Amino acid sequence: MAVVAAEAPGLVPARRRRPRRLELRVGIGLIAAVILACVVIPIVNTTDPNALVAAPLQPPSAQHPFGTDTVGRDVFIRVFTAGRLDLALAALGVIVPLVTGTVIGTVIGASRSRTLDVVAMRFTDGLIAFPFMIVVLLIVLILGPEAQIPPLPPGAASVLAATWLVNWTTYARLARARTHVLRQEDFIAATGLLGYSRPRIVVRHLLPSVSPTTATFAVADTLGIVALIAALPFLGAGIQPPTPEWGSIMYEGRGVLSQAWWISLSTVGVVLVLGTGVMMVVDSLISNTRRARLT
Amino acid sequence: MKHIISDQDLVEVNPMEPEGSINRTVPAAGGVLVASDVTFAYGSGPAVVKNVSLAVPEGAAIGIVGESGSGKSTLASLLVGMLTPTTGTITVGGRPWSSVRRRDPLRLAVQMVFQNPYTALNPRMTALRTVSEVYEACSGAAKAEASEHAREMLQRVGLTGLAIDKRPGEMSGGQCQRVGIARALAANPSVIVADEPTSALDVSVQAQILNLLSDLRQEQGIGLVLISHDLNVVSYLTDSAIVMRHGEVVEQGATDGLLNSPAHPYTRSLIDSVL
Repeated sequence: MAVVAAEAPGLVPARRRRPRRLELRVGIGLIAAVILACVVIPIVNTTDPNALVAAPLQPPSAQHPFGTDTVGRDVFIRVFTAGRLDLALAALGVIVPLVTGTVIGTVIGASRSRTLDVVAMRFTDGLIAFPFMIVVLLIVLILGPEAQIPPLPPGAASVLAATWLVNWTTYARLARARTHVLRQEDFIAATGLLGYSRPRIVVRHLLPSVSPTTATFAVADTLGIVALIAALPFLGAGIQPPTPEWGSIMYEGRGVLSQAWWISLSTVGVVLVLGTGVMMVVDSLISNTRRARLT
Repeated sequence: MKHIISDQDLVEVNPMEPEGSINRTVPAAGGVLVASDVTFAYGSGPAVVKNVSLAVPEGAAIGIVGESGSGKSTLASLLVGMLTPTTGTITVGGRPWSSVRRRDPLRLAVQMVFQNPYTALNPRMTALRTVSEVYEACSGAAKAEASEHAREMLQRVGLTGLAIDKRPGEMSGGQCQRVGIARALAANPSVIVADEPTSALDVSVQAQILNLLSDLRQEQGIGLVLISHDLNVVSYLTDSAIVMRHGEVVEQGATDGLLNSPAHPYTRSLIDSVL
């Protein structure tokens, strides 16, 4: 008996066409603008971010677009020099937990061992429940505020150590939950019927389907890490002065906010642009992931 | 030929299998796939499959019909070893599923074609990759060799050209189902359990998939267990059938006999509902 007719190849229903990604493009554009500014401005403008260039508390002008701070340093060059450090720390603080947490969570989710699942998840729950700021402060106490990982400045080591120690747990939880959902899918059931080894199922089938979920969270988490790094100077921890860093610039401007609003608000403005871009990208990725699952 | 059970119990099947593909051996006596007095309940809930017995002889096609909730799909999951019976046994090649480990070659003897062709395939793998992986993982073929076998297999199920490099999201339901069938065939099974393989497809595509299953069964002598609520589909493809209701077999026999002179009132009501 012959097959009746060939189907139209490549016929894709309208509901499965890619949606417009204006939000994603604008978000990526905003993030790229901040990153580009942080890379290019310190190259074009060779002013030392710690140099005293004018009188203190000068308002924004053509010469100093973000004004000067309490000791006469150029806020413009300090904000964009600080951005390099904050973004580098955020990337390092997210990538390592993203990879370790995704792998650990997927392996636990794929395991049929109830004991492993219970023990591992209670351990991660304990770490998640422990206040993150306390962990950072404890590590600062243990390592000391001057602890350094070259070429990063003093204080960065404790921030990174804390995020690496704690942050993977959130990714592990997400990955485990997604893996449990995937295990009910027919294509994972088929891998079992075909006798595929567990490492193959994890590496070739589960991880590629789990990683979009954790990667989407990682984009939002990057902003959280930026906020954390910026918050630490308010607790006397984090990056040590005079290294320019967004949190320390805002902290310095806090005391003179009524007279020199430009010190804190210029930094807040840059972080807001970055945050808006990140959230637009996250929203777009989440809605795309939902659409992909529905089709 | 790699023997799974003792030599005197074995016959070689599928003379059409391509060189370098996975070897298939099944016992000569009795059914390839035999369910004996199988009962199954999810957790501590009521039994959804009750005392079902059936045997799938070599190359036979058996239909399982019943309305939604009658236990057909659960029985399919039991037959392929995805679920373990609460009581009773299911044997493949004379051995119970419980003794067949993941890497045991006998694991490949029963494969499944799923109801939803989109969720049955890894959304991130192309059709070619989906099928070639079976050859890599199951027969240890090198990547190039596995791709070549996969191309042949996809061609056999009617997929050629650009379609083989597409992912499920870029293919039609019928194309996805063909990939699902090719993946099952790549394991060189003795029996394919097809759980409502056409119910998620357009009417025009349903006929193509049914013709494909019929052709492949006749060419390769593969046993078929067809789960369906559609009596026309079952009558087209199978020699014998069982009728399930509330997890129990209410009637069984030759498909033509069941459809032309049903003995049980439930079978009659199923036939009447179609007419």
